[in-house]
Amino acid sequence: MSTQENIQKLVTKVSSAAESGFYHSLWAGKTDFSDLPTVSRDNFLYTPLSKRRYKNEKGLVKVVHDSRGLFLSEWSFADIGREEYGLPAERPMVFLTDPHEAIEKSMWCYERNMLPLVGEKDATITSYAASRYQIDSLITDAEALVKLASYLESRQEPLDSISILGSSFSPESLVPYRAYAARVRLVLSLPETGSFAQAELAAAPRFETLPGCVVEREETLIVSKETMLVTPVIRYRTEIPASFYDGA
Amino acid sequence: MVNAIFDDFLFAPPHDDITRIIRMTSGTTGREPMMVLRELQDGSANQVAWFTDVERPLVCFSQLQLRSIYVSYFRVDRTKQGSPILAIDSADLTDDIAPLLADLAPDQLMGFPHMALRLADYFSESAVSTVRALRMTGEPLDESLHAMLAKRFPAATIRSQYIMAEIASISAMTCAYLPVRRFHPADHVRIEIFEPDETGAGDLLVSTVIHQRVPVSRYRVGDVARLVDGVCRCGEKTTFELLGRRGYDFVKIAGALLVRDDFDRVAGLCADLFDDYRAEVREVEQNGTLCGILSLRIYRDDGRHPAGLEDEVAARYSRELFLSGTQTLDEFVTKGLFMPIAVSVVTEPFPSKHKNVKLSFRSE
Repeated sequence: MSTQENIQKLVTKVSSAAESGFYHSLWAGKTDFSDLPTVSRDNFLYTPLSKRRYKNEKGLVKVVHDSRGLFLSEWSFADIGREEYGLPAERPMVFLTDPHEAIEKSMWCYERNMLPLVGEKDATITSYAASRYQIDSLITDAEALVKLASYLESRQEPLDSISILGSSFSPESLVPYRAYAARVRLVLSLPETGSFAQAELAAAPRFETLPGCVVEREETLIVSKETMLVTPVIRYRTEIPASFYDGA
Repeated sequence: MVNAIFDDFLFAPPHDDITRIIRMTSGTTGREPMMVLRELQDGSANQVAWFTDVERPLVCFSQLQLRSIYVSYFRVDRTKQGSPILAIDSADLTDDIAPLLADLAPDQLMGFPHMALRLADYFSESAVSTVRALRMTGEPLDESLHAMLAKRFPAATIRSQYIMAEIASISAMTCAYLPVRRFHPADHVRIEIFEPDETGAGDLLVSTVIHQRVPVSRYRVGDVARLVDGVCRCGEKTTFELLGRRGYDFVKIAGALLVRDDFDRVAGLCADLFDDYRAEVREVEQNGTLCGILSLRIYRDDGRHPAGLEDEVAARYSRELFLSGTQTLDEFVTKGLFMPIAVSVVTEPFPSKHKNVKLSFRSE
C-alpha cells in the first residue's frame, strides 16, 4: 500500500475517531484526502492538547514556543522512534537549542537502541563531554552547531554523521561543516510534525520526502504523515517556502 | 572508579538490553567533572516510587541532563502505559504556560524544590488541586521550603529523596514519620559518619554497589550528616540527618550560619527583582570583635535597572534571610555582628561553571 493510500486510510479513521473531534470539525464532513482543508500552527496554538489527542500511549509532552505563544505537542515514545532524526551510530550526541527538542531526540536515540549524550547549553562543557564520550555522530540544529565549531575543528577524525534539524537552513553558512563529518544531512522538521524530508548538505540542497510522509508544494510546503500520532499530521501547512525544497 | 566504569564502557560496550544513561557531574568542590554511566533498572523499588500512582508527571529540574534522565526513567517504567510526561524548562515559565498546565493537569511534580515553587505561580486553582504528589530531589528540602510547597500545593503529599549523581539513590523516599532532611538509607546503601564532631556531624561515607556489580566502599560524597539515635516508628533502625554540602552550602562566620538554601529561598521571594545572584561573605575585625560582611551581586535577564532596586533587594534580604535558627540578618546587624548587606547590580550574566557556587567565603 502506498503512503498516499495509508494516509487516506488514516483520514477515514480520524474522521470518525471517538477520542477527538479536532479534525472532524475542521473537515466539515469531507473525507477524501485531496479535498481536505489544511491545518496550520494556528490550529495547534488555539486548540488545547486535550482536544486534539487521538490516542493514549506512554510518551512525552513538549512545550512549543512560537512568537504568538506556547502550545503543547505530545508524542508517544514509539512514534518518536519512527522518526528519521539521525543516522545509526554507536555514540551519538544530541545538542539542540530547544531543550524540549533535545529531550525528544535523546528519546529517539533510546528507541533506536543508541545511548545518547545530551549536551547542555554551555558549549565548553558540552565539548568536554563530547570528547570524553568520543562521540561519532551529532544531532543538532544550525544555531547549536555553530557553538561546536571549535570542538569539531579540534577533532582528529571527522564524525560519521551530522544531522542538522530545522525548518529553514542557510546552506552557504553550513557548507563548511561538511569537512567535519562523512555525511552531513539537513532534516526538515517541526516540533509538532516531526521530520518529513532530508537532503545532503550542499550549496543548493535538494530535499527528498521521508518514508511515510507526503509533502505537497503550494506556496509553502504542506505535510502529511501516515502514522496515527497523538495529534495526527494531515495536510499541515508549514511556513517553509516550496522553492526552498527544490534547491532554489 | 566512576570514570573507570565509564572508560570500560567505552572500551568494550556491552551488548545487552539494559537501558543506560550518561550524565556529567558538575565538578563540585575542587573535583573534576565526572562522566557517570548508570543502568536503569526497571522495576527497582526506588524507581517505581517516583512515578507510583500518578498519570501525568511533570519533571522540573533546571538542568537539561537531569530532565532527560528522569524522562528516561519514566520511559522504561513498565508500570506506566498510557501516560505522557512533561519536562519543563525555566524558559517555559511565562504567563502563557498557565493555560497549558491547566489543560495538561499534571498530578505529580518531580524535581528541584525551588523550581517546583517557581512553577506554583503558574498553576491555576483548579490545576493545583490535581497535583497529588511532589517528589523532590536535587537539593535539600528544609522546613521553610517544605512549608512553602505545602502551602502552594495543599493537595499534594511531599516526599524527597537524597540522590547523588555518581551513586544514584542514597536514601529511600522520605518516611512519613521523619521531619525534613532526615532519611533512611536506601536498601542497598550502608552509611557511616567519618570523624564526627561533638554534635555527631561529620562527613557522610556511603558503601553500596553501583552499576549493578561494582562495590563502592566508604565513598565520601562531600556532604555533612549526622546519625539520629533510635528506631523510627516505621521500624527502620538507621536514620541520618543531612546537614549540607561542605564548603559552599553553608558558611560559619561571626557567630552566624549562612546557608545557601536560605539565600535561594529569599531569592525566590525576590523573583520579581532579579534572576540570578552570587553572594560573598567575609569576616573583618571591628573594635576587637569579628564582624561579618555580606555582599550580594544580582543580575536581571531583561537588563533593566529600576530605581531603588538595590535598596529593595537589601531590605528583603535583611528582613528575610536567617543567619541562625531564629534571627534574621537585620537582627545580626542591630547587634553589630554584621554590616548592612551591600547589593550591586551586574550587567553580564554570571559565568557558567561546572558548578554555580552561589554562596562563597572570601578570606582576608
